[in-house]
Amino acid sequence: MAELSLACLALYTLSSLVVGTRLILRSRSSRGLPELLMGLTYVAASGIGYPLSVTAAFLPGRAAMLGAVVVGEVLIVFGCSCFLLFNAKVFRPNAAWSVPAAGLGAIILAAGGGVVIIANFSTPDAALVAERARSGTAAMLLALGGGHAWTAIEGLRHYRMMRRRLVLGLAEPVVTNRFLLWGLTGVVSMVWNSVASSALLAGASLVSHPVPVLAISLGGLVSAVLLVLIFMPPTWYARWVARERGTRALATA
Amino acid sequence: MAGSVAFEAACAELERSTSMDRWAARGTLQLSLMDAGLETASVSATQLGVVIDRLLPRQLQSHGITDATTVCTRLHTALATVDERGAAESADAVFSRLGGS
Repeated sequence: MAELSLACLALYTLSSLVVGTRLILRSRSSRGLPELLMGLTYVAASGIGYPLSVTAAFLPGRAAMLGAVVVGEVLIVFGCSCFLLFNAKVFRPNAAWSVPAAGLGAIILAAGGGVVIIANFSTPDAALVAERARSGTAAMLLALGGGHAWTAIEGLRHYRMMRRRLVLGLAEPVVTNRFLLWGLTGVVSMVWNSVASSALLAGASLVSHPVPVLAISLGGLVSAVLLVLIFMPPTWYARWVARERGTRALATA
Repeated sequence: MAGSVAFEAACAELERSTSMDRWAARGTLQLSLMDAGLETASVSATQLGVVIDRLLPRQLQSHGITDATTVCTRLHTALATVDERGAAESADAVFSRLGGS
């Protein structure tokens, strides 16, 4: 179980780093804020922050462990805040509530991360750390769960609208499919978030208990595959989506 | 929520060109946009142009407007002068760019 979880975590980390780095590089040429925000999300939170916080407990020496926890939590908070801001800026650019909502989520994430860091500094006892960090982790999962729900709703809502636009020639099949994948990313993330929250309520550690680690890693792995298809779609996949659309259009005609 | 510049221009022209009041004109255009999977807040002049050609005539006829072709031509003329600079980038434009297509 532990080896499988580690393998999933390694694949998730690698995929997030590749996708995130590519998006950040793309933002330098396009000067686009959305790709920068998503790139930072995947590099900071998924690519470095989360694996660092999971592996911190296994590092030799308390100083190294504490350093990894601090860096990991800061990167998770920063990356997840970028993710919330991406939803606000891309899906609700004209809504007065969207950026404040993302800001509120970022504050909850920061407060939760702070509690986790303080809990780690307060005692070397792992069980006591888990107990003291529980409220902070729960707050972070709540904010993140809200962000994933937002992603799922916006992705699937836009997918439904894009399908109507396709009929009028106002949308491309690949971009339409991208919204479906984005919505599914939100759904998958909500599932692993729910498993993690339940485990937390049951008193299990999110970084050492195999069930939440496996759920988070597998969820992250599926998300990583979806992210590759969204942000770096292989040519064969784009062709398949376009061909499927063409076949359906002919069938409708 | 206010509509996009293109939507507001089309509504104003539809109100001028027909016997519809402000709310009837907005409602008629909104129904056509919903059929097209578009939103009033973010629809562009180009997208609205397609909706005017493909979906609006049917809506106008259901309102008893017989000269739908003339009304649609006037709407196209109104949209041609719309200045969309400063409008927020739409989600589909962002997703189109993010995936490299």
